[in-house]
Amino acid sequence: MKITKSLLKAMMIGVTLSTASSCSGLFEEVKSEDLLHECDDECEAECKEGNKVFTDTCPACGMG
Amino acid sequence: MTNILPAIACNLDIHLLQASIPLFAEEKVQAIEWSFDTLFKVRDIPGWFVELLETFGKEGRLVGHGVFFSLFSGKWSPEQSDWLRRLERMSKHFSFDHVTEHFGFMTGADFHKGAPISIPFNDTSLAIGQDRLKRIFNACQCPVGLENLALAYSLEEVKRHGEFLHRLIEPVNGFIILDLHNLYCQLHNFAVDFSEIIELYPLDRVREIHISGGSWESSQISPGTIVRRDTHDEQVPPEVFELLKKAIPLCPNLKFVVLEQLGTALTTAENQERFRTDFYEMEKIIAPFDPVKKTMNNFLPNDIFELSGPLENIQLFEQQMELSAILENSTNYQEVHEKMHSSSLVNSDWEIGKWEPKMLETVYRIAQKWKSGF
Repeated sequence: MKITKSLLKAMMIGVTLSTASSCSGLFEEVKSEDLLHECDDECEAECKEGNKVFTDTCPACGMG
Repeated sequence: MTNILPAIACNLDIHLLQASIPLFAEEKVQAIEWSFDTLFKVRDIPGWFVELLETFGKEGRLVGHGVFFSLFSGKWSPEQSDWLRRLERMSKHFSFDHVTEHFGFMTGADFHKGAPISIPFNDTSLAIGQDRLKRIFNACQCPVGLENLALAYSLEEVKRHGEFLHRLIEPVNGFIILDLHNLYCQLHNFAVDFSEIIELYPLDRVREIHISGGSWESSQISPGTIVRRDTHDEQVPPEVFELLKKAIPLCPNLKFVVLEQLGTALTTAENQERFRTDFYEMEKIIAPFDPVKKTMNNFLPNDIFELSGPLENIQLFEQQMELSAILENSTNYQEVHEKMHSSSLVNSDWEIGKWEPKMLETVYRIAQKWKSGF
């Protein structure tokens, strides 16, 4: 499926910088406890500095 | 008619996105699957990621894949209420084509700790599972599906899984994700043929297929035996691609085929290239089967469900807590085995006497791996 060049560029920049520089209003209103954010102060500092590296792990399929 | 759409599991993971961006640039990714409940570690969601989700959602090519709802927990939890509220909010914003969850209950006491493990296939579990699926439908108001679990305690359980899934989804007119790597784990771990197991699934209910890689683990209690695990950290094995070729023509309502791999296994350029190679192979396999003749099922129930309080079964809950505590707190397999056979699970519908030792050892290892969270 085609996505716009501007979105693709934003993804490339965002991934390259690993930063959450631009926040979505949708998540802003539900962040913190609604998203079950459990990071500590160190993580918060990372977020503020724009150095957050996103990672995920998942146990979901039952044999992970 | 709608073509079968090659898709990727796309989450806010830097390495996964690095691996995927060339596929997006080539316009190869026809749909994305997003695990909408895995953002608990992230305070701020980048605008570009939201835009990506919105872009696919507007085209009916975004599917939501839950991880943490714990469908069969015997006791309803406040976190499940929160999960449904978030799902409702996400669904209004993102236009999911469908929403799915995993089979099983989470072993951990905390909502983001533990791993999903199986439950007795009895009327109690069935009623709770059906109740939860109705609530999920009420929240998302789009087709709802369940994924087959990789973990099984016995061959008998493997053989009953498809039929039990069918009974669970019937009230919501739901569908099944057929995870072929999960099935591959079972075929290996219980030495059974694909043809024997696949016919036990309601294949007209398969709307989505997953493929992924996994790993082998040596059993310490059965020397010389290796167990296949669905760890999502390797390339898709050739055997799973062969299963995909066999499965597609059997599934008349198939709409999405999703490649899954964890970002933690995509940290090098070589691994990211192999991920894309897997995608191209998946795409090549799917292509000759387009378009597929669909049946008329829209996978929607007739109406919103009118529900009173969530169904609970305290005995099941206590058994789940007891099993979780044994698995998470024991220090070795022997201790697990002894505690299990002096627990309330003896002579119950859990039928622990039928559990294969290597699978008890595996579920112990899984619980140990995930008990500290993700």
